[in-house]
Formats: sequence, C-alpha cells, structure tokens
Amino acid sequence: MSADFIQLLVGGILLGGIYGLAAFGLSITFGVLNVLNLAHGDFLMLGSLLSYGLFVWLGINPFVAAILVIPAFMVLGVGFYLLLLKPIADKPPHQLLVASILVTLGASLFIEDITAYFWERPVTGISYTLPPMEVAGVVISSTRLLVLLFIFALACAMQLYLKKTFVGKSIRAIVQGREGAKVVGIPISRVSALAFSIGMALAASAGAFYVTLFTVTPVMGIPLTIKYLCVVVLGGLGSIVGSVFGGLILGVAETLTAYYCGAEWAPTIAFVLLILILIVRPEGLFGAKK
Amino acid sequence: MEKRFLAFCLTVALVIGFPFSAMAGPDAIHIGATVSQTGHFSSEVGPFKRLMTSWADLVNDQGGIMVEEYGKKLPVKFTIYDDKSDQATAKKYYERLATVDKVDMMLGPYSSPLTLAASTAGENHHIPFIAVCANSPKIYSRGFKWLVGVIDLGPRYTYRYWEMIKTEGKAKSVAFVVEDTIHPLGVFKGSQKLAEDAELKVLSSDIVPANTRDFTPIITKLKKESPDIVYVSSNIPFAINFMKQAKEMKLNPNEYHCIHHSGIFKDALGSAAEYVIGQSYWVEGMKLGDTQLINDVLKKADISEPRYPWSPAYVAAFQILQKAIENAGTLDKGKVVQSLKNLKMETVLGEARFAETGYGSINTYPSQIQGGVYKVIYPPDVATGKHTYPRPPWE
Amino acid sequence: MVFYSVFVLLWIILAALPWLGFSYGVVWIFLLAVSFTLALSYDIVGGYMGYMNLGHSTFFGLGAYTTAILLNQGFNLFTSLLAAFLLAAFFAALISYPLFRLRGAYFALATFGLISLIEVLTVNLRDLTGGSGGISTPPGNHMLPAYYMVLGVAAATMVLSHSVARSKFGLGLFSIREDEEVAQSFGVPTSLYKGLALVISSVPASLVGGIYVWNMTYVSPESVFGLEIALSPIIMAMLGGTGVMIGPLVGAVFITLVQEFLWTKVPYFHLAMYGTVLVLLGLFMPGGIVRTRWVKPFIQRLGLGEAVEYFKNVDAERMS
Repeated sequence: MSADFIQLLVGGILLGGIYGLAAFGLSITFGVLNVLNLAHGDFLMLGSLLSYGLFVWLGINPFVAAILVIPAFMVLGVGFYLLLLKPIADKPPHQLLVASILVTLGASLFIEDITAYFWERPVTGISYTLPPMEVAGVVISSTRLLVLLFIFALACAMQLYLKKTFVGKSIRAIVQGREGAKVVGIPISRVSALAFSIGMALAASAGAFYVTLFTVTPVMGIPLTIKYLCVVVLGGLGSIVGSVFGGLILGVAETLTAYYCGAEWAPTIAFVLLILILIVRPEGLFGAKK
Repeated sequence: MEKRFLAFCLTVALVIGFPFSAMAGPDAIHIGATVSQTGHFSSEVGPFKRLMTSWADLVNDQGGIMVEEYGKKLPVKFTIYDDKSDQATAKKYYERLATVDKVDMMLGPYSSPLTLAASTAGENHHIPFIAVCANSPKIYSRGFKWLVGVIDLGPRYTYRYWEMIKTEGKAKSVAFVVEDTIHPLGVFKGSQKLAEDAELKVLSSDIVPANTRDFTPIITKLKKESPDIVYVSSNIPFAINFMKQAKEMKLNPNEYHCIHHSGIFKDALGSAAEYVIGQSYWVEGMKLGDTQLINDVLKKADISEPRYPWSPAYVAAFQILQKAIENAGTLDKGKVVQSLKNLKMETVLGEARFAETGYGSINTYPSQIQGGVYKVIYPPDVATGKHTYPRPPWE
Repeated sequence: MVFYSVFVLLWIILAALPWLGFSYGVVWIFLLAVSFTLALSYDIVGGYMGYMNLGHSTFFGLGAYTTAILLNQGFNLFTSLLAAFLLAAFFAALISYPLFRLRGAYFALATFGLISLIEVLTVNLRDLTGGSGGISTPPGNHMLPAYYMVLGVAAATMVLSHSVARSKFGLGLFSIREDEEVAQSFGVPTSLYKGLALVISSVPASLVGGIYVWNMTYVSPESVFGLEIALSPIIMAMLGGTGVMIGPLVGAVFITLVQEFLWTKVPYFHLAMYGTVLVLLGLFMPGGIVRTRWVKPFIQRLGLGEAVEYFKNVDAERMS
C-alpha cells in the first residue's frame, strides 16, 4: 500500500469518528421514540456555537467544552421532549410519523431562524489547531486524532451504561419493543425523556468537535441530519457499535471516492451506500432483525 | 347552502386578487430592490437594506436628485422586499415592483442566479435594471435591452492578479481548487485561461461540491503535485475549511490565493490567513479618487467593509443610478436607460462604463493579508503595500 | 354537484384574472398553482397510500431540466413537456422497485436522500445540465400562456386525484395505508399499486416543472432541488389535510397567503413563524385544517364527507 492510500485511510477514519458520534445520538432517539428527529443537526449546531462562545469568551479548551455542553443540553433535551414529543408519543404509527416530521421540522426551522438572527456571524470557526504529527510520510492531524480517541472513550462509556445500568437496559428494551417494555413495567415516558436528552447531549458534544475542525453556519442543520441518518441506517438502529462503524465506513468511503473518482462524486457515496444497505440488509450492519 | 359557497368563493377570489395599489408620480424617484434578508445569502447581504436607505437619507438630506424636466430635486424612495435568497421569490417581487409599486428603476438582487431570474421583470415591463453583485456572462448574453451591471464579468474577476504574476514572472505553476457554484466556477474558467497566458503550468483543477468540509483527499493530491500557487476559487466558508486543513496537513505552496478573503475569513483562521492573497474592491488608504461617500454610507448604515467587502460596489451602483437620472434629466424610462448605456463617470471604485451587452467595468484588486491588515499590492499606482512572495512556510 | 360547480366557478374567475388588471395576482396565482399541483400530486402517494414521499420534488426537477435541455435543443414546448413527463414517469417506475421495499420513516428518509442524489448528478453532469451554473432557456415573456397552462394542469390533477379516490385502485391505496399485510392477503396487488401510484403522482409534478422553467427562463440545481421546493408542497398537503382532495388546496392557499402577508409586513423571523405553525400543527391538528371541528361540516357538504370521516378517531381524540 502506498503512503497516499494510508494517508487517505487515516483521513477517512478520523472523519468518520465525528460522523459516528453525532449519528449515535440520532440513532438512540430514533430507536427509543420511533421519531425521526429532523432537528438533530440543529442541536449539533447549537452545541458548536456554545463551545465557540466558551472558547472565545472564556478561553475554555474545546475538548473541555465538549464535556461542559453535555449537562446543559441534557436539560434542554428533557424540555424539548416534554414540550414537543411527549404529546405525540402514543399516536398510532402513521400519525406519529406525520406528526413527528411536522414537529421536528418546525422546530428545526425555528431554531435555525432564531439563531441566524441573533448569531450575527455567518460562519463560525475556532482557530484552534494542534501541531500535526508525521509518521512515515503520513501526516496525522493531532486535533482529529484526539477527537477520535475522545469519541471512542465516550462510545465505550455509553456502551457500558447501556449494558450495565438499569436505565441503560430499559433504553435497550424499548428499542427492541415498546409494547414489551411497557408490559414489564418500564416507565416509558421517563426513560424516553432520558434517552432523548442523551441523544441531544451527544449531538451537542459532537458539535464542540465539529467547530474545532470545520466551520459552522446556523443553517447547516438539515443537510447534516440527512447525512447522519444515512450513517444510522448503515450501522443499524440503536446500536452504538453500529453507529461508530457506520460513521467510519462512510468517512473512509467518502475520502477514497474523492481521491480516486474526483471530489464531486464524494456526496453521492452516502446515498449509494444507503440504497445498497437498504436492499441487501434493511436492518443495518449491526441492527437486530425485527 | 349554495349561496354561501358562492359568497365564500368570491371572498377567496377577492383576497387572492387583492388590489395592491400604489402611487407613482413626480413627487419622488421610486427605486425597487430586493435584499436577501433571509436564506443562505443573508450572511452576505443581510443588513443591506440599511445600506440602501442610508444612501437615500444622505441624498434626501441634500434635497434629493435633480430632475431637469420638473425643474427641481426629487427625493429618493426605496421599496425593498426580502427575496429569501430564492429565485422564484425574487422574480415574484420584481414583478410586483414593476406592476404594483410601479418603480422608476430597479436595483438588482444579490448574486447571479437571483439576477438571472429577476432581470426578466425589468425587460418585460421596460424598466431600467441595474445589476449590482452579479457577473455571470449568462446574464449579459441574453440580449436584454433594459439591463446594465455595475461590475465586470466573472471570468475577468482576478485579471489584475494574473497581470501581476505575469509581470513578476516568479511563479511557474498553479493548481486550482474550485467550489462548484456559479460565481467561483465563472472566476475559475476565466482564470484558467489568464494563468496560461501568464505562462503558468496548470497542474490540476479540482471542481468540488459547495458543501464539502473535508479536504484531506485534495490536499493529499496537492502535496504530491507541489504547485507554486494554490488558487482557491470559492466562497468564504469553503476557503476557511480548506485553509485550516491545509495548515494542519502542512501543504506549503509559495502562495495561496483565495478569491474571497473577507474579515470573517481572517477571524476564523487567525495566523493561517497571513499572506493569503484575495480580491478587494477597495481598502482603506487606496488612491481611487474621492472615497468619502463609502465611509459616509457605511458609517450611517453601520456596516463594516472588511465584513462585507462587496458593500462599496453598492455605493458605486448608487452613484451610477444618481448620475444616470441627472444626465437624462427626466424619469422617462427609455431616456434613463439610454443615459445609463452612454454613461462614463468616475465612481468611488474607479471609472464606470458599460459594454454593449450591459456589463460594467468595475473590478477588484489583488490584496494580501499582512500582519492582519489588507494591503492592495497591484497595480503600483493604487497599491498600499508590497507583494510578499514566496510566503514564509508553516512549520 | 355543488363541488364541481364551485370549482368550475373558481377556475372561471382565475382565468379572467389577467383581463381584470391583476397582473401581480397572475404571478402570485401562478406560483400558488405550481405549489398546489405539487401538493395534490404528492398526496396520491403521501395521503391516499400513506407513504411519506419526501422526495416528490425530484420529479419536479426532472421535468424542469428535461424541458430546459430540450427547449435549448430547438424542440417546441409541447414536445419538451411530453418528453419531460415520459422521462419522469419512467424514472418513477424504475425507483419504485428499491424504494418500496422500505416503509415508514425509512421510506421517507430514502426518498429525501434521493433529491440530493439527483441534485449531485445534475451538478456533476455539466455538459448536459450546465452544472451548478444552471441553464437559461430561450428568453421571452411567457407569463400569460404559462399561467393558463398551469391552471389547466392543476385542474387536470384535481380530476385525476378525484377519480383515483373514487376508483377500485384508490380503494386499494387506502387499504395499503391502513394495513399493507391485510390488504395483500385480501388480494390487493400491493407492489403493482404502489408503483402505479408513484408513476401517477410523478406526471403532474414533472409537467408543472417544465412549465415553471419555461416561464422562469432559467433553472439551477438549487432552485428545483432545494429544501423549500421539497418541503413546502408536503407541508401544504399536511396543513390542509392529507388523503382528501380539498386538503392540499386549502393548505396551499393558506400557506401562500400567510407567507405573502408575513413576508411583506414583518421583516424578520419568517421561518421561525413558519416553524411554529408546523409545530402547532403537528401537536394539535394532525388531520389538517379540513378536519378541524369548524371546517369539517363545511367540507362534508361539498360531498367529500367520506374521506374526512376517515380520520374519525383523530377527531374523537381531540374532542375528549
């Protein structure tokens, strides 16, 4: 393998890590609430702006900010759930689908517009970089590597939480079957609120990394949400391992496509993968067969 | 029952065909425009409604614009709508400006796509239409008779830069990274030819989708090619992402050229923006004639030039508009458009005149960020600084 | 019969509009009729059949681009429009196979992704489509003929939608919405019906796409594949009420009116208000305007009672 190829592979994996973290937040809300949260990307955006503020005005390191935003967005998440999603949670499937798309899309438009008005900077980026590392001719961005390590740590912690604690188990139970979970006495509403707030906090946390690597605009939410939905479907619903792997696969696939087929074809690969996985294995790579 | 329905339908029809009435008369000069207050262009021209009304206030404080036919000065009155950065909406409002508000002249919306859609209203209703920030050759290749544009064609956007490179004769090769949207693509097409004329070798041209955020593959390729100049033809967010990652991956060409490198670019990149060359219409201290009007209008509108570097082009458009009416001495639309076509004047951004097909003569100057300040580096008679080439490499 | 006479009357009024001096009204109704046709044709799949096709604007875009390309090749408008709708119908038939293996949110997501895929293709196939710069078509003032054509297509779509709802095929679509397994076991050819519904809904969308571009004389990827054009017809259909023909009409008129008055009177927070309306709609009015307590009796007298009754349970829920 040439150095170029390894460089691309490394680049793709580092990129995929960020996809994975945000996608998992989405996956968990989708799994527990059966709601396609179109405002997910907007919470990532808000998380980005908050950590930008922490960095610029208080001088807080973006990696610390990534942890600080978690409690703030968990509170916000519970509020969002109680106000907007709880009232529609018990509708029959078709009506839930329609209602949830209306509610989350409306929330997304609302958030974007209000943010764009009050946040006068159209493009936000943190000029925070760490000196890159060079190993055998391959340049590795230390910032991205750190992001990737952080994401793996967070993913492991989440995985432990889901496997070992009672609440974590309840979340998984609801993903597997809402009715069954109800029967065994899991307080669906409370667990849903928690799951939603976790999803939101993960999005915000991913946003903190996002703003250190890329630029953020108030209106970027919906395209991002679509991309993360591709990752979720690729990896399988409610599976943290699936989301991380889905993210890595997408990251590597995009990077390789851009290099070998031309950068203009990179955006198509997400949809090609999506259509492929839906035809071959609709439950996703790591999803449980229903 | 049926009666009630008929009544209902009539109400609906009345509401729909709402008789939007407006007055036009010699009491004022009515100018129509749309501004992208919302949508994706709002970050680029969001507050520009203030720019227009501030200029109108300044002119009206002095009594307005002299119109000989009426033997008096008439105040300027703007009618401005929000086009939502959307073509259909822009077209709709320009139709409205033409048919309901009955304006005397129109100022174009921001960007080429919106102008392409909106300018048909001027043409169909025979109203002089001044395009401001729109320079796609497509706009002027349709044979429109009621359309002029303030700025030069997109492909010529950076011709002064290539002239400089040719004169200096130091750089030998260039690689293009192009954002796939109408303006950057147009600039690239012209630049490719101009670069070849300047005897540079074009090593590669990557046309990249607008929402690309990760440039690892392209930077990997560029490192292998090691061109003298990396020319990034793009809008600002794209350029910020590219430059940040280029620094992270230690891509060290002799020169970076990012066609747009406004204040947002500089703030988001910090030290990585140093020595980047871009294009400016105007910077503080340039010897371009009387630029006091730029300062006055921008100050009154509370708009900063480094943040909105295309704002001086609007000031030039205002001057052109005023001069055209003064020269015509009437508000007769046919005469005003004739006077526009024959216009030749000194604006705050240098000489303005219009080609046969309607595009203008105002163009940008290459400027380099040196110690956080924008310095125009070519041509020497207007320059405020010297070109640093090659740039000191990143460690 | 009341129903038909009302619509015939409405159309006569609209057709007379250009001769009454409402030239801005013509532009306005033109855009309204485009949105309405999109909303109504969306509803055949989204409302009747219950598959939320977020990618409906793909057909609009395909129609627009095919027409623009052929017009520039020197073909006349009718040939171009014919080609546009044949191509869109063929495309709909082609994608129906993989897409209808999905349901619910998955289907919605995949169709949403489809728009971006086609947009990327249009941007990348520069020689054919003019790339991101778009293509201009031969210039000219086509407002008036385009207005009548769109009115015609809109009326035809209403007739189409109405006859689908009254047919055995329509009944099959309703049964798929309620329970696909049961429908299948009762002998409804679900795969065929689903594909057919998508093809039928693609035709009006591609036609208005073609007329739209002929009138605008310019088309670019973002203008036909953007978020606004993708979502607003669907929002209109849902706001008015899905699965009943009058729903999209009410929704389209309502949203366009609200936009017109909000947009010209209040300078900021347009999208935020729009968003708030959507949220409230999702929370309190899932059946749409036509199924609210105040409007429903009205609609029933128009002879559209059964379709409205369909969401009986929704109404009962709210009453309690």
